[in-house]
Amino acid sequence: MKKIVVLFFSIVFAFALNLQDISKTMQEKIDESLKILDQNKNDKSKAAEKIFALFDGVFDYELMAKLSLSVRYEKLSENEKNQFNKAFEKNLKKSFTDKLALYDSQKLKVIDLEEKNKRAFLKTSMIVDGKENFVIFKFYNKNNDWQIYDVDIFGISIIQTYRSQFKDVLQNGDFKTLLEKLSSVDFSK
Amino acid sequence: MLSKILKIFLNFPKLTLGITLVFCIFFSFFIKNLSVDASAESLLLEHDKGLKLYREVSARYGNDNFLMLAFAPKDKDIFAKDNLETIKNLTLDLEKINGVQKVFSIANAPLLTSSKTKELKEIIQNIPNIFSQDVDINLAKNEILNQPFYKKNIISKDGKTTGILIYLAPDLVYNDLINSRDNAKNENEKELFRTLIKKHQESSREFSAKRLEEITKVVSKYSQNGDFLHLGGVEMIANDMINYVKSDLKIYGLSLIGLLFIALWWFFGSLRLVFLALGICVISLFTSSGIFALLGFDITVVSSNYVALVLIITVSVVIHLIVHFIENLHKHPKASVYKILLSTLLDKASPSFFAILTTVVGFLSFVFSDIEPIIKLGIMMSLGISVSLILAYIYFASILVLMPRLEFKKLNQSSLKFLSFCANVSLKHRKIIYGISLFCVVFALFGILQIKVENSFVSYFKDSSRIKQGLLIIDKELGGTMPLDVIVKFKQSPKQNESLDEFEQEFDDLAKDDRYFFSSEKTRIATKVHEFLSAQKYVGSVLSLQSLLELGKSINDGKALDDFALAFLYENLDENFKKQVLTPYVSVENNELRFSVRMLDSDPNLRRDVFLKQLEKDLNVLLQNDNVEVKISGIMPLYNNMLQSLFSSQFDTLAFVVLVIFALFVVIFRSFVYAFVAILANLIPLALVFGLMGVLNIPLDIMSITIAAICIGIGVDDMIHYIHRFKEELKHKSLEEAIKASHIGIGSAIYYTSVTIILGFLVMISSNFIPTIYFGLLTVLAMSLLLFGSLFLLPSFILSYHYLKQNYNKA
Repeated sequence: MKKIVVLFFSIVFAFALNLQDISKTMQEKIDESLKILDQNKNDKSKAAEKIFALFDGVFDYELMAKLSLSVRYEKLSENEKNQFNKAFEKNLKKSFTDKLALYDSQKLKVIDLEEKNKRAFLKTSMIVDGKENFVIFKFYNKNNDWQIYDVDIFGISIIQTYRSQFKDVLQNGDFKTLLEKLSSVDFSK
Repeated sequence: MLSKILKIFLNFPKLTLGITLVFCIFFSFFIKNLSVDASAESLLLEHDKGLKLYREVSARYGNDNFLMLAFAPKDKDIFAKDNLETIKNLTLDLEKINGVQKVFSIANAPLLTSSKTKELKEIIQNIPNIFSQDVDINLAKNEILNQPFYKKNIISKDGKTTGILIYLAPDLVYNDLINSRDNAKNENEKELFRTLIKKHQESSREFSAKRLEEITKVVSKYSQNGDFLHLGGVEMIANDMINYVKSDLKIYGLSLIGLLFIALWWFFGSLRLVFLALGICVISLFTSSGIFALLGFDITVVSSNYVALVLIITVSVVIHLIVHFIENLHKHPKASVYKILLSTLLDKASPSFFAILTTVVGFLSFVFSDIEPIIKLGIMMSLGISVSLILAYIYFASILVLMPRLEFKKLNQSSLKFLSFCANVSLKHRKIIYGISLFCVVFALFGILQIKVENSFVSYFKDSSRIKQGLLIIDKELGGTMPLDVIVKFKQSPKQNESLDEFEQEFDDLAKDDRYFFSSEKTRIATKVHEFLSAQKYVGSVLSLQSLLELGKSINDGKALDDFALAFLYENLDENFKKQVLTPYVSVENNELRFSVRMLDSDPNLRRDVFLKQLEKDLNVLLQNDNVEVKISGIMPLYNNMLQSLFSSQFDTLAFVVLVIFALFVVIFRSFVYAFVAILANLIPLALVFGLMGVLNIPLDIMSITIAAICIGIGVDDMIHYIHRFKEELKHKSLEEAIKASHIGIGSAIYYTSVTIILGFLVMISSNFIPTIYFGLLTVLAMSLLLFGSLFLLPSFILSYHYLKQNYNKA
């Protein structure tokens, strides 16, 4: 049993992302995902699936779900938290898939990694119609494994926009309504 | 004392005349400085909190000072090539005019879904219009007819009429001056800014008139080939009102003098007397106008009546003097003119003075209205008629004494017959008079309870007028004429006491950033309010953030924009486009949304006050759980506030006037009973006028609301003259004889003055301005009824009182 536990931890640490490796690893993953996009131009869903497989280990979906719901998250039961986490991850991926259209044929280049307090912001740039736009991946240190908790796309935080949407839904409805909306294709309806 | 002064006038007539003329000419010299102000703001309550909000909203979202040019081509096809070219050229020509900020029409309206080949990304970078190369005309037509920003705004529902919105450059200097005046530390500083504002208003009026003239010139250039082109808008209304006021002033002045000439000739049959009376009227008018100019008063829509009022009141003072003078001449054929004049002036001094004093009280009651033009009308008239009284005495005395003694014909016989009839009816049929009066009181009470206050700009103008036709088209086809703003301000969320972890703190800070303003909460509220407003009766077009959301939906394959897309658009949208579709409806800085509504002002069923109160109430219910504050602003609520405030102060004002006049009557007649019956004989006819207004559904407006005070002021003059004369007659005649003698004697003067006043107010029917016509008609009605009040009701009351007294004494 002890061997199994050691093996498990060694595997986890083998995938753990160090601060100094963020830029390099992310550039590799981005290049890889752009390649996937190029190869699957006509099937964005398939491309998205492959890209998620590439990034899944770097995104902390659970924390993202928690942050999106803000202080209300802690008030949920364990069962509700699980339901919400799943629905959130699904919605986020769906939303990313939809937004992939925006990055069509564009190059995403890592510019720098900036450390702020206990966070690390990886700034990547994209030239759209001659204008430089930025996508910022926000990392935090989760037990020496740097994970993404938010992404800023062209200046807009994904988590922040989720927070305002969820807050409004919960102000005018209950958790069930939120789950239903989250699971529906078009969130804003 | 008075006798001594009058003797000076009579002993040194040339000197008196010379000095007075010099004074009159001096003041008359300033008439050229009198200006006409008919701006929308000229009639607003200066202390209205709503006015401050209105100015803030205008400053924040850009002013809503625009003109709408309705264009309906004769071939009824807006999208035909020639017509589109015309609209384009019109737009370009109008844009060139100095003082025009921008022109918005289907020729330059941005089109987002009408390009055949361009991708959305490209479109957002360089937004096309109907003339752009790759725009499909059918798609464009469809977009213009259905896009929330355009339908019922710059295009009618049936697509046959288009609106060209001409945005006028805001008057920033005026706004600055108003702010400086409001923030001034002391009264001196405030006064300085008031002077600067007045100066600036004069120059900006000239500028606006010139700008409007140029716009009209361009419009008439394009009106040559039978297309329908009509201008409308608040500034247009103001400009047309100025022209109407100016033309009314000329018409009133000239036609009134003509009418007075005829009336005076009919009464007295002497050219000398006619010219004397008219001369005094004209000199009084010129002198008082000069004084008003010196005092810095403007002529507004309300005070444009002063010409007629001054002429009418002056002539009535002079008629009383003439009638008494002729009476004395016939009574004392051997006495000298000097003595007859002196006796006439002394006899009439007290009733004339009190008659003018009570009229002044009537006018001065306007001072409590809080509305500058009405206050000014009160002051202007009080001053004007005081000047009239003085000048009438001076000129009457000094001119007549210089004239050789003339034989004047006896007073008009037909009027004497009528007056005898009135006296006889009062003597013999008092029960009938009381019965009719009682019926009138009941009818009046019933009608008064139904009286309404309305301000409809469209109904200010005659159907045949150019402005009304334009306003009706804009109202019916292009989403309404009267702007109204609904402001929804988001309150700060209550602070949560929970200590936040670092992540929570990070996102809470981020949420404060402007780019996240467009949250689901706000868009949900925008949608809710927009839909609610659109569903309201009497509401034409509604533009708001919701219009942008709908536009976003249409370019997002029918899917509503989520918070990310909204924030993304706000951050990345083309600045020009943002200015056009976002800035007028959202103030991120002030955390609020603006819903720009246009009301269907021409709807005859619209009850503005009820509508506005209900709207505010319903909006508060609608948004009660949304932590927001709702405010309603715009010209429409401001005018409504003004009228409501006038209406609610009517009772206080009338009560004040009646009480003061009653007190004066007690002093004049030295009797509570006389004072009471005089007031009653005045109030019953007046109540009947208002009762009729209620029953006939004629709403009170800015002008008709002043009728009561004016009529009481003028109407009680007859009572004063009558009772004064009756008491004199009673000294050496029986009760019945005294009544008959009073009717024949002072009755003639009352009859003549009333006929003159009625003729005078009838002139107002010629006005182009509907409220003036109503004012004239209602005052004519009031004056006619007051004449009956003086000749039937008052003597009946007096008789009943004396009979009761006699019976009491016998008992």
